[in-house]
Amino acid sequence: MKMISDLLLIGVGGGGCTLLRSITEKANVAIKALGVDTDAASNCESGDNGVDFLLIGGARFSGHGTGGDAVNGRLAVQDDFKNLDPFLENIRMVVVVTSLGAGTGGGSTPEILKYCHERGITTLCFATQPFEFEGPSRCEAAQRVMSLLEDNADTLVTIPLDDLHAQSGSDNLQLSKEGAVETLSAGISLMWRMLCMPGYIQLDVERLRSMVVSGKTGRLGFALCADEMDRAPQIVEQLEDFKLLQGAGEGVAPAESLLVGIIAGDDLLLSEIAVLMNGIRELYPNSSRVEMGTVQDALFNGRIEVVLFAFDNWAKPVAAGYVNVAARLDQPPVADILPAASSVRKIKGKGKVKSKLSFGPTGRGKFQNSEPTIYDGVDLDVPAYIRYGINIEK
Amino acid sequence: MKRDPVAALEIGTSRTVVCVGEPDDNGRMRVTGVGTYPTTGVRKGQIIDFKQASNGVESARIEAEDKAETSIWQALISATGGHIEGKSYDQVLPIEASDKIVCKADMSELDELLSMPPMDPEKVLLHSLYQSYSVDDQYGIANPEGMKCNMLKRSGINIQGQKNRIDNLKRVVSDLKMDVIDVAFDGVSASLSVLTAAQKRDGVLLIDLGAGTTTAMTFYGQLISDIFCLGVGGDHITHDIATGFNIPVMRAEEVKCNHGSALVNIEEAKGRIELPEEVGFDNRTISAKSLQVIINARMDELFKIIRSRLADRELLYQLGAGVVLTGGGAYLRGVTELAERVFGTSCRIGVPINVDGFENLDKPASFATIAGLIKYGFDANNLLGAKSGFGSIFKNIFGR
Repeated sequence: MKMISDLLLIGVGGGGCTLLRSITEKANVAIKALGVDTDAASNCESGDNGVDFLLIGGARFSGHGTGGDAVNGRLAVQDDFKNLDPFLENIRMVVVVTSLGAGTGGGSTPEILKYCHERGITTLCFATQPFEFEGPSRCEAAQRVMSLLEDNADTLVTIPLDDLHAQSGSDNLQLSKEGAVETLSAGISLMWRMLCMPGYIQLDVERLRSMVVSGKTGRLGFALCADEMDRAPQIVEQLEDFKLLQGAGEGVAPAESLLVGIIAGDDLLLSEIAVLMNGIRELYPNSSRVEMGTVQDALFNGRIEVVLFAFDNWAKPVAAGYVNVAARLDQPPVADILPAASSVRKIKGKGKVKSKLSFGPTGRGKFQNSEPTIYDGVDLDVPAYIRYGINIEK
Repeated sequence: MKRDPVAALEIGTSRTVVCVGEPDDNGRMRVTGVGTYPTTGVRKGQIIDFKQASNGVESARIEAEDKAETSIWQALISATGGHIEGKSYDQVLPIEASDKIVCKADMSELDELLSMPPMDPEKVLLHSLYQSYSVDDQYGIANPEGMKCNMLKRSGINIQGQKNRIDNLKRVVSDLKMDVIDVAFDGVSASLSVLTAAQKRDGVLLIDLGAGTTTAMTFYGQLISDIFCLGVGGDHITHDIATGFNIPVMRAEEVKCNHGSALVNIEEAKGRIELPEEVGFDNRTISAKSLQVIINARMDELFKIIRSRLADRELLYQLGAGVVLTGGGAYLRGVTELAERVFGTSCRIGVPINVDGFENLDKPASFATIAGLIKYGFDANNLLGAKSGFGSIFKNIFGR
């Protein structure tokens, strides 16, 4: 089975590395994967599953972690950006998994997403939010980082652990945590299988990428059925009840586009696919765009597994080879990680730095006729907030 | 022996400062007169209106002369601007003695070679700052005298600037019938007045946040490791505010000084700032949050540029004594906290400690450069004697 060479899975922080290991073990396909953490204990060690590990902030924290400080996490990855380069070579899309609430995951993930975006790499981020019982400080820290992730990821899929816990159906803490990791990694590893294995309706990286690019935010659903009868309707029911797909009101949250991956054994029937797809379509507005792929694998004989990505936005994909010329400037300031993060909002629609301002064509103002200060190809006389696409409320 | 007073001149982007200093009875330099005048003919540290710059110098000189009760006929001047750069270079000297022992003469010869680096004819050398020696393949030698080796090597940093721009600076002064004793880079001057030997030994980053330029100097092991000058300063913040809210530059400057913050404060950011009515300007309010975001974006970027440069040169972890901020920008609220976050080390405002008399002035860190010039003049006077003049000694005194 082929390894997708232009798709990289990155686990950031301790939680992210745990998820990464779980996904690579479950997927049963070769995954190009990288664990990134400040804690050397998270070393995913290159082994049979081919996971690489990058220790960041080693000079600063000596491999002992950030002490739960997101600012330290941010500094750590900024120290070692260059070490990421070899792993990002020839990569067109990265899938980042992280667990929010502590230092490295919260601090480094936005930076890694930004760094990838600057290199024209599409980013899909799965971020788990802490359990409510973990306390308000961790929950608030996760919430603060969330807006940064939204700003920097092409598509962000947030996964509240409370919802995953409810999905797993266990009240035992250990089982609950394991169940949460299991469910999430099952969904992502299934996605990978869909991409790697040849199928009747092939789901390739480019189709996934085209949806991720404009997705902004999304939800992940996963269902499986191993019964002999009525497998498709049961899966539709499971998806309808799947916690992570639920909206604020009753039923699943509406989505502009859907990506459905079906993996089953040789016994998969066309009628089952039809029932399944019609059932899923009925859950969502008629206007939702639906893409699907099916893979048949003898290992799955007797059961069907379905992964569903529901994206909140959809736009016509940009042409291949699209280059975001403004990406170099696309760096929000450090205060984003401070409590007032929500005050800085990067405009979506990457590549178009917009501003509500209506002054001169260049923004150089009083420096219009003076010698420009150019640093690394950037005109620093233009106000920084304009170059970063920060909206100013007057 | 009684020493002559030393006069120093700084033509900054926002103000011109002339300062006179004299040694006190304890042998320390004390400022006896300071004259300041708002500058109008300078942008990003460069003279853009010769006449206006000259008027500013004259006004500041008169004030300083009145306060010091002396006449100023010669002065040290400071230079800054994005055109000034530090270039690293090495010189190697084969040890020819049969016993291969390094002697003082070898070291002098090597230093002489270092003081004559290849120069672009368009540029002028301001300082040659020496770094540590290497004997054969052994690095970081503080004093190689008496050591055995085949090759003696020493590194240095040349601080050089555009010749015509430095000459224009000198002409502003000479037009006022004053002699220019020497020209010094403002970062070097500031370091003389605010840094201690212990800080330079442990590693320190000095950032001079001027109105038109920002200068960053890194010290480690008593030596200068890196020099960086960027044509971005407090003026850019004012400009960003003025354009962000469509208000006049003067108003933007007031808002920056009275309400500005380099960090976004969640409590303060909830309110609005009232701008009272003035002639030609209706009263209005602006968002406090937006103001802080505008300033934060600029300052964060500036610090990150410096940080990135240090990281490239592997100097980021040699800042045992932290970061020291000087210049008017050091008094921007939240700027030390922002620097601590960006550089990951402690940060404080550096006020002149090696020259007395600035402690009673408003915002003493903004006088760091001029205090350093006075300090240099005092030290050079001691070295050379009162009647010897200064000349190129300024090029060589640092880093030894």
